[in-house]
Amino acid sequence: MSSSSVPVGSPRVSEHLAWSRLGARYEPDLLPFVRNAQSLQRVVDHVQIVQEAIGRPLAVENPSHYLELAGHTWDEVDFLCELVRRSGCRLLVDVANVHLSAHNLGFAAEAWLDRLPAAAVAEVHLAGHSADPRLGDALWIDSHDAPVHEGTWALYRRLMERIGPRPTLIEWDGPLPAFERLLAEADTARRILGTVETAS
Amino acid sequence: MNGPTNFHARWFAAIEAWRSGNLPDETLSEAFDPGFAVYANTGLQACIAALEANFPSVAHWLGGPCFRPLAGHFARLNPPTDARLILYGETFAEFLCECEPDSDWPYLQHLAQQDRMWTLAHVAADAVPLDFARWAAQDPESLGAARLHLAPATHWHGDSTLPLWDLWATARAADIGRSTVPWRGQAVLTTRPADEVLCCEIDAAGCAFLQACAQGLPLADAAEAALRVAPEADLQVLLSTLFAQGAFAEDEPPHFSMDS
Repeated sequence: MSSSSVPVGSPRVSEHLAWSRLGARYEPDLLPFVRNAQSLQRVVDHVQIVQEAIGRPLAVENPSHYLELAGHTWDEVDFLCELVRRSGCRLLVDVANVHLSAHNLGFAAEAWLDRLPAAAVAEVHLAGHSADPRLGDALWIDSHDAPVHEGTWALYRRLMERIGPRPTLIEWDGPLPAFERLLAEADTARRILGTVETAS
Repeated sequence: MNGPTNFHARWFAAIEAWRSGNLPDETLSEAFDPGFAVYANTGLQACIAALEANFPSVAHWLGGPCFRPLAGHFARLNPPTDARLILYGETFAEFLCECEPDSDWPYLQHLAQQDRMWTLAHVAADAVPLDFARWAAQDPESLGAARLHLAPATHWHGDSTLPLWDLWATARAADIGRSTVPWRGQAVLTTRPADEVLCCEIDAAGCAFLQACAQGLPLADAAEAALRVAPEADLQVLLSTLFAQGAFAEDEPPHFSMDS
């Protein structure tokens, strides 16, 4: 990407906190990495390159996690907060990914969300997940092919009540249900946002 | 994440080992975690889905249950090098040819090439199509020496023994009711004069004419090349078809395209 400003019509531009390329090899997935001082600085550098090119803050999204890597020296929330502080980026909080990762890795999703700086959150994502075909409920997959889980809705409500309403996207890639089912999901999000707006 | 770190290289090596079903003991320890399978599978499924989207006519004629294992085999041997997955599968046609050189479906590699032509036309740089009336209005004496510049999206592909257009168009229309295709040699012209990719059948004379234009030969030589392969060819009809499809650009097109 060039250092000159690239016109982008979208109100927000986002990317996941993940990697997918090494040299000439590209893997179409959001891969995990070890959070340490070196990777933090590399992400900061890359975010700043993008922000310079698009002329606006990038929103960085938390990915889903399926295993615990050895060697982290930064907790994920601390890593995101420091990334925001150093680069001036914002956060796209995927509440479903937090819910799923907390289940798979065994941490408290509520505590994870409660530590996010409210002012940095630009957008929220929600999605449904499925159980691993082999391991069942021991491992959840971010499949985007099911209704948003009740637990995810509860986390979303908790986050919105704390930080106030945010633009929210529900991801459902397939197999798609009847349109009315999708509208019902959106209505649930609208009801929660309406409650929060009324209260604030 | 672009730095060639030991972790990243070992992760990719572990993914490839996992997909081959042979994880060595000394591989990344996380590769033995049940969650690693999610990463290894997700990337592979994304590659297969990209091939299915990029080569719809091959997928149509083979059917999903046959196409997907074949696509998975290709993806294991040829992982993507570009994040733009619309360009993934550059060597898929050759792979199909090498995979089953004596198969009963010799047309699959040609269908794959035609699907690729469609993609390349779709992502090609925009160009203003050459206006026939304006071009034809020039001094008749100089027409023979004039050169026609192919638009960046213009591609053609054919085979002298296979009904490529009928097979490809049937698959693109998902015309599963059509059971017979007349077996004769056909070629397909692919263009994109505006937003939409256009495809039509052309004959051997058309292919020879376009090849001559691509080589930078003047109109007189291109016409001679067309008549050499098909002495009965109607050059007026041929030119009319090529102009109507937007095969030529107003100016010499820029060299940039997504494929470059």
